Amino acid sequence: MTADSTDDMQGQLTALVPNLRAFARSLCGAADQADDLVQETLVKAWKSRASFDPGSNLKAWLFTILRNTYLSELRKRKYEVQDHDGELAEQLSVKDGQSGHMDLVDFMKAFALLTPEQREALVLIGAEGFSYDDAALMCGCAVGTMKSRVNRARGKLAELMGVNGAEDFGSEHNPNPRARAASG
Amino acid sequence: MGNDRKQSEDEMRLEANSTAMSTPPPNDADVVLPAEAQGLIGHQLRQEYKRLLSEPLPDKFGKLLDDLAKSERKA
Repeated sequence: MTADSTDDMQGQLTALVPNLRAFARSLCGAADQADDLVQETLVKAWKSRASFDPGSNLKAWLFTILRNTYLSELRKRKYEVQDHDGELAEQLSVKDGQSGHMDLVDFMKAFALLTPEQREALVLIGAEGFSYDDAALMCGCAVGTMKSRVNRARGKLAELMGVNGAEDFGSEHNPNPRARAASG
Repeated sequence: MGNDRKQSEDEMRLEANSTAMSTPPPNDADVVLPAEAQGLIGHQLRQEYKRLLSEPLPDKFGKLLDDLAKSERKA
């Protein structure tokens, strides 16, 4: 690496730190944990920058490193995830059992109740403006899976926030029985 | 307004068609929210994300990148 390309990489990484931080905060919520995640991402990116294709999207590459780092940490601390999922399931089952009686929450609270995959999908598509194709590549899933995650995330937010019209779209409800018949 | 509704119905039909052609069974993920609800959620998401983006950065990130670049130049 020449001095110029070192400067260049440093400059490009610096410019993307706010995005990395915002993405990390969206994924894990806690500010200190998010900052650790960003630092780890920067170190990994620096070490493996020779493998980055300069013609491709640096932000997408960095985001991929960050989300992979986050998810592998989540896997290590699996018990915490299970606790969180249990909490979420409990809250959602309250909604299912007593339709319409759950306290409505604001956007940030509702967002925190989504699964990590849903938060990730929503931010990549809805906030960062990545295409479904790019987001699916970054997350190592099919494009259809990415679309499903975004739709589920929106649906859950609308339900938790009580956004007008969402009541018609309960999670057990299939809006179009013909679609099921046609696919079977 | 009427157009919006029409459009969202068309989207749902499109969604149903594409569902019929793909292998996974249809479920709540195929539900498309009304355009107004989607717009509201999208707006709040972008607003909160913008707030996160504009938060002041701690010095540690700049310092980390300086250190990484310095160690590179020494090597």
